[in-house]
Amino acid sequence: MTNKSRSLMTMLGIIIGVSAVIIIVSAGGGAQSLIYNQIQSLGTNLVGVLPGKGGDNGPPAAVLGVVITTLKYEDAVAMVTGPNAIQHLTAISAYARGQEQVSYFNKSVNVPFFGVMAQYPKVIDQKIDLGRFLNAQEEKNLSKVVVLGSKVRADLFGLEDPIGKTIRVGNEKFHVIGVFQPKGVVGFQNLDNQVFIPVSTAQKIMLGENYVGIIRGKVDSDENVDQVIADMQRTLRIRHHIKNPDDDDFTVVSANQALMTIQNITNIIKFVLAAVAAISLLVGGIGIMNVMLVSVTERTREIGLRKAIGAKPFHIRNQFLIEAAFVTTCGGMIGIVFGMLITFIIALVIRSMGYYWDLSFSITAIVVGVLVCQVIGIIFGYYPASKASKLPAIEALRYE
Amino acid sequence: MSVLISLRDIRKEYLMGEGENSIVTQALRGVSFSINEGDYVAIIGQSGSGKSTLMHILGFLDSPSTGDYVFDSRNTTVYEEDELADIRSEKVGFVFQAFNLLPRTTAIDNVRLPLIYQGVPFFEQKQRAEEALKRVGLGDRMSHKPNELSGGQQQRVAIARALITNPKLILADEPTGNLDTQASHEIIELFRKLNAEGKTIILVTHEVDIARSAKRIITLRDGQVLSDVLN
Repeated sequence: MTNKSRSLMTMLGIIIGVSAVIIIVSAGGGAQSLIYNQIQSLGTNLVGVLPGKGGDNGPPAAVLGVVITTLKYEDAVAMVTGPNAIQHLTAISAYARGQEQVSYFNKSVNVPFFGVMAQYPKVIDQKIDLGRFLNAQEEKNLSKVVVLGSKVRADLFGLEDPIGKTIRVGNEKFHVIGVFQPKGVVGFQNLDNQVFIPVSTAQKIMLGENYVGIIRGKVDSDENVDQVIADMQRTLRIRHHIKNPDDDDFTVVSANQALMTIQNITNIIKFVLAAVAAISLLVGGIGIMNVMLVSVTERTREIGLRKAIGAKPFHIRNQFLIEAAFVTTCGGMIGIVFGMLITFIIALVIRSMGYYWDLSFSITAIVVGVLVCQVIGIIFGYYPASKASKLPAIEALRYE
Repeated sequence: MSVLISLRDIRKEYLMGEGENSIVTQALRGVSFSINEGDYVAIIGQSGSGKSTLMHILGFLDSPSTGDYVFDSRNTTVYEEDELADIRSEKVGFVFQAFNLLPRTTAIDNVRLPLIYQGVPFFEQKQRAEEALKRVGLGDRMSHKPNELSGGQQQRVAIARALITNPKLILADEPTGNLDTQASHEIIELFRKLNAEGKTIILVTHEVDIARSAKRIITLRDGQVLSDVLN
């Protein structure tokens, strides 16, 4: 290798390619673990009802933000009371969501509000710290009562006791009846930075709607989840007058199904991105080939000399092949270290935001990565090396 | 004294240019002579006399167009590149005008290079390289790189490299061309000493006084031997 800084530049393509692959695969794995963890944090034995029919392998449109208005509060009520009440379903809540300015005197925050049912704390397993949660009366009667998440309480009241005080949610006055213990980020939502009001109040007074966005129910044990799902579907079909399952205007999923769907989607994304990164490795290899061709031309005299003192064509070829493989392997190792560093930094940043992030490096991936780099060096170095080995000794010695 | 080299009617033609504009140039037009083991021969001629071509053929860097080249009792005329490389590696040591040492490499590593290509074990390489450097008077400069050596010292490293395989023939192409008078004398002295120890040396040059240090002078003109006299 004649020029150290030129070698470094050559390696750049390989370094970037390898780092990209490492970052994408590790970060992809971390992202998958984050999403997995978030879904799991909703609680096991959870089933969800979304409006709109989902595709076979894809999420229902509602997950992606499309507003569908077929699900009703009364659907949720029917699942736990009355003649069609579902066995093994221990708690249920419908959700009507919005975002509002919430204020107490001169303090104000802009946070999401959840319109929920009285059984909500049992569904999500969130515990009351001060006061109490809504009751069944308040749930139905458009009462203007509110339960605060722990962060909202701190922001508006500091250490003051909020129970019984009046706050504004949007343009409406609400009485504070309770405060939740801190729970953290669940299902991608920071539950501490939200407020909870009766679903009927949310629908009629705050949002002016008569539908709900989602219904969540808790099943008493794992083995009954499938049965509960079937029962919910039956109940909804009766209530929505649906004869044919193909005409469903809802989707019932268990947390496990959601996890599997997400896993499939993120795997595909991960592989596609990694393939793109791998292409950059190819480009790096082409760069190496070009630089080696130049190097061979520059070292023509040296090649001629070596042949004059006894080097056979395979000696010359192997010399250049080894140099190429060395450059790519060095580049690969630098790329691996750099990629691991970036992955580590990403993990630190995401974790500091309060999310769960799996940080793991696969030894196989690293070993395979180094081997791939060597192979690339040999493949892309072969043409220049072969050219060098075929230079006739005299011409090489005459070359200026 | 046995015959080492026997050239019989050696001719070499080159095709210069391409297609319709190509010309045939005759570099050598029938050169014949013999050289015995232990001889010290200078081949002298002006530019264009064919001496470089003759040297390349003698050194197995090129093959004649017609004629026979018998070296060490073997007819090497029809050898392919692999066999030529073998002979270069084992039987011939080259000394060039421009030294041709590897730049960022120490003297001892430059000298042992031919042994690497022969597959000699590492320790033996080092040992023989040290001996060769001592033989040319550079025992105390083994770890120096070319840019830390004078012109004369670099050429001596090159000579050590040429000697290390114990070749039958030392071939020197204008060995003093890049050296000042003092260094030139040192190199010529070294050749004399090596020849006295039994080495066969062929010197190619265009300078008459350098040629006069040899025991026999072959003069080339226009691709043919003009004269072949003992000195």
